[in-house]
Amino acid sequence: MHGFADSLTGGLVSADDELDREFEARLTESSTLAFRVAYGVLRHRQDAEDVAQEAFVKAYRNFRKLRDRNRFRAWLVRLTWRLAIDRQRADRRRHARDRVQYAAQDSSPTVDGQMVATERAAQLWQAIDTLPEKLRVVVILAGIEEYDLREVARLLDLPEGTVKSRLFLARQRLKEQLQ
Amino acid sequence: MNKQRLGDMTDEVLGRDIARALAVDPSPEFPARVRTRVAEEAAPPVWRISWRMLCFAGGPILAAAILAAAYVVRSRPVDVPVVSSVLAARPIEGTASVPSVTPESLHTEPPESPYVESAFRRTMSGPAKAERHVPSLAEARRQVPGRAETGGRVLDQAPLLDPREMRALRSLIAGVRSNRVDLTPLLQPAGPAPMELPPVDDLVIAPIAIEPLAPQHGAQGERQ
Repeated sequence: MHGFADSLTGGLVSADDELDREFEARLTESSTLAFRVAYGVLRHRQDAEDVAQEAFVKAYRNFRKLRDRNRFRAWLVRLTWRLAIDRQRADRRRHARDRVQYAAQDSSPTVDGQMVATERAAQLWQAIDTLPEKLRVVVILAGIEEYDLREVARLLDLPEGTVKSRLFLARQRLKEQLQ
Repeated sequence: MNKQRLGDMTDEVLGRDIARALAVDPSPEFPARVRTRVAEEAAPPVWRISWRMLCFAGGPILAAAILAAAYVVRSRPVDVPVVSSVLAARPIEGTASVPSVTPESLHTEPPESPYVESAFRRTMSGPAKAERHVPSLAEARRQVPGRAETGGRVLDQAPLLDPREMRALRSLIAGVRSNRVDLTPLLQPAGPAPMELPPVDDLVIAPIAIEPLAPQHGAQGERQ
């Protein structure tokens, strides 16, 4: 695994070059996923990047021990989620949160429209924060994975039916709070 | 605020809002930061493994190094000064063998031998003495005449004798072998004399008369 560090810094290639290349590929394909999972909990861009980075470091330390490399994403998601929850609990004093900026495709041409969208996002996040953890993670992963319940079930290592029922229950609670 | 806007929220709307809220990408520097952080993380295990290996293998390696150093020191040859080796090459108690002498050999000239100033130190010939060359140890060993090595010991077979002494000795030995010289009385120092001399009874010694010399004419000077 040391050769991975060398290759990252343009150094020599070690005997574990194949393993290093595999981790590099996993890092490339999963960096956004880890960041968004952390952001779904912390809603602070810099904190989310720090947590995701820490998750990758831990994953790197134990990558050799991972028997099924195809489960790297699920392993990384759970690791990132746990680190983000720990950070959130340890950082209760933080009050300043990033205000959610809707994506550029948001069709709010006026300043008033942007304010409305920002207010909607704040209410939404406030409602999500009230959900139990096992419902919250399903809602966030479903939003990240565009509601591919099979993929969410794979990431959480849960039956797909369980994910579906949890997502249904979470939506009911969110609607109750938002209405 | 106005929950009226959220009042007609359906699953589709809720899902779209959540997806928008999570559609946040990391900064472009994020992957590079992660790679750098992982690269920094990769260095310590090398040292940890090295220190572990050093702890486990350090003892035997150190012991082997000490043993090797001790072996090298003990097997190292002692540097002997050149003078000492020269002296060591010469037998301290070496005996000079005298060549066999026959009567015929007495009439022949002894072989060319180096000029000898004394019986204890061989020198070069007299005229070449001023141009004496100090040879190295190897040259010195090659240049010594009559030197032979026997059983690892180096002996000088050329006698360190003066030629005159050598001739006298050869003459004596030849005389003894040809019975011209009888040395048996010398082997009996307490015995009687080989010749009986007649006793001297009346030994009369006439007084010596010295006549003064007559002065010669024309001689210069005259004793007063």
